[in-house]
Amino acid sequence: MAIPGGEEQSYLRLAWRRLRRDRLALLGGLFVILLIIVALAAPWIAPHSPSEQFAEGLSDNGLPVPSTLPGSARFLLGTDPNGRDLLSRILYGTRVSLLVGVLANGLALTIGTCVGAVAGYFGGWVGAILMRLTDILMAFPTLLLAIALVAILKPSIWIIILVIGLVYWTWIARVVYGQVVALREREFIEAAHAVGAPRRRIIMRHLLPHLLPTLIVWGTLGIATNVMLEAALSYLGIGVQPPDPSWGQMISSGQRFYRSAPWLVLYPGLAIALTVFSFNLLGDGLRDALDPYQKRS
Amino acid sequence: MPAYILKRVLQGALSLVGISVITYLLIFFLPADPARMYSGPSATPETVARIRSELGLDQPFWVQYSRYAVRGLQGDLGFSYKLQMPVTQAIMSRLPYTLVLILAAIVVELLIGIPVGIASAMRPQSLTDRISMLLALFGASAPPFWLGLTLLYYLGFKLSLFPLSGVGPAQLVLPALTAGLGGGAWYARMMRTSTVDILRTDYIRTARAKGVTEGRVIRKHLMRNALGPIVTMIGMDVPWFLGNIVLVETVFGWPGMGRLAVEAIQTVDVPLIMGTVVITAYIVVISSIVTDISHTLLDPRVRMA
Repeated sequence: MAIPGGEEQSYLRLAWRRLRRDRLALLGGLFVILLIIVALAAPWIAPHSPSEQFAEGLSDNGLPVPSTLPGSARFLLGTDPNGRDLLSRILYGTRVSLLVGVLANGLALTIGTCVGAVAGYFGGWVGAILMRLTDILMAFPTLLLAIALVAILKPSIWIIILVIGLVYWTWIARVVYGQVVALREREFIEAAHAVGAPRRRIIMRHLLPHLLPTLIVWGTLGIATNVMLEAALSYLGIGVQPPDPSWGQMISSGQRFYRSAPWLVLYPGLAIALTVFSFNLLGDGLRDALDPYQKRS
Repeated sequence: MPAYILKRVLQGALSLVGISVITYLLIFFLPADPARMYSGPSATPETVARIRSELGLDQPFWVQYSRYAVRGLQGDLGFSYKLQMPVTQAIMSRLPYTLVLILAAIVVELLIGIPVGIASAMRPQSLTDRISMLLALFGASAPPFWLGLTLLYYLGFKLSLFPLSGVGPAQLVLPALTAGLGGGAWYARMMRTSTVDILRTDYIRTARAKGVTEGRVIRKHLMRNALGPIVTMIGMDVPWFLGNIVLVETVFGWPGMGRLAVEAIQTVDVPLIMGTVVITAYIVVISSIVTDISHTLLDPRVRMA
């Protein structure tokens, strides 16, 4: 990796070639792209408004109607307990899930990389204190800590993003720390020291590029974890608040009707599972493709 | 070995102090006023002030915290405002339910994970391997509350195989399945990886070469070596479950500690929040120490410095 641009490009090209052969990873990637398109184009794709309550969306005794009922073909996946179109709500829910997943992950990656890189690069008592703190935070049950923080700060979508970012960075810090400690002893870092490069430059120009594959993999897998966390918080009623449509909250409000209207639970849950699944597939594939320790064929 | 155990115990104690300080700090900055909650909505400002000083809530942070820590070491975690009973008693009445559920879930995980993982590893890249690993990843991606409600609908309601509500051995099956399916998927992936590695070793080749039957190779040569990572995983599972089992408990109305913690948070019952978090962290720290120690006992090659 001595010549910037030269070997780096061929490394990326090799990684891409490996990724292209991994059909499952590509499938995951395609679904992720589809999700992004749905999130961006929700107003044009969704058949109805996610908040409009239809009179014909409720049966005579006030229950949600299934899609199979004659005359209710307007609602492809049936309606929810408020007479709203479930499909439109699920499509709009993509926005909330991806927004929280991506932004919370960005926050976690930033904090985790900074803490891990500083602790690993400087070592000594700075590193010891930072990593001890990380360990203590990791001993907290993630979901309970998130619930407590959200309860203190009052739930809103931005608070959810902040809280998930704040509870998730420790994992990234651990991984980055381990890598930086290993990199610190390598010759090219020593060489940079020897020619008098400032520490800032060494971290930014020499350490970070080597961390990039790890960060890409964890960035992808982290989105899966964070989407799941948001769904769990919203399911428990301390996540995204109505009227913003969130998949977890749809399941929570639909579960009272799980016997008479199972679709209220089935479809939003399927949306969560498929989203988490595709980010996991893509992340797994990226790990195999980018792994710098794997033998290059 | 004794030195190592002592070191791990000291590290654990340090973690516990850190955890309790952080939790106490979080609650200290809570916008809700515990004295107000405790004295009720109709109390006069004078009563609230009196109760505040009685509870020591007007003291600085470190005074409050050290009082709490000293009492906590004597087994007194305070008094729950909402439940009107000692926190220790409230937790002890709910903790067994959670522990039973976690234990049952781990059994489900092992029953799924070990056979599926080995079957996959015996014929890598075969159709069985690909399909089971794909299912494993999907199982790990499915939200537990969705899985629980789906099982409840099909197995409980449609097929009437299991009761829909209540607490008892029959009611334990579906929650345990729900909690164990996702984790079983991770066990299968893990078991597959370690089995593939072990199958490449010389001692397996030797065993096969001298005509040991395949069943015996699996039982005597493979399992023993593959169990190390599994023990570590069980040790990591306990903390994970303590944090996440609340989702399964909510679906099935299981009266465990996860529900207690969420109820405490929602009603701003400060002593109860502190108590559930501290007890959870306590179990987490102990289980990580037990895991490390049993790992070194099981595998003499792992003697950590």
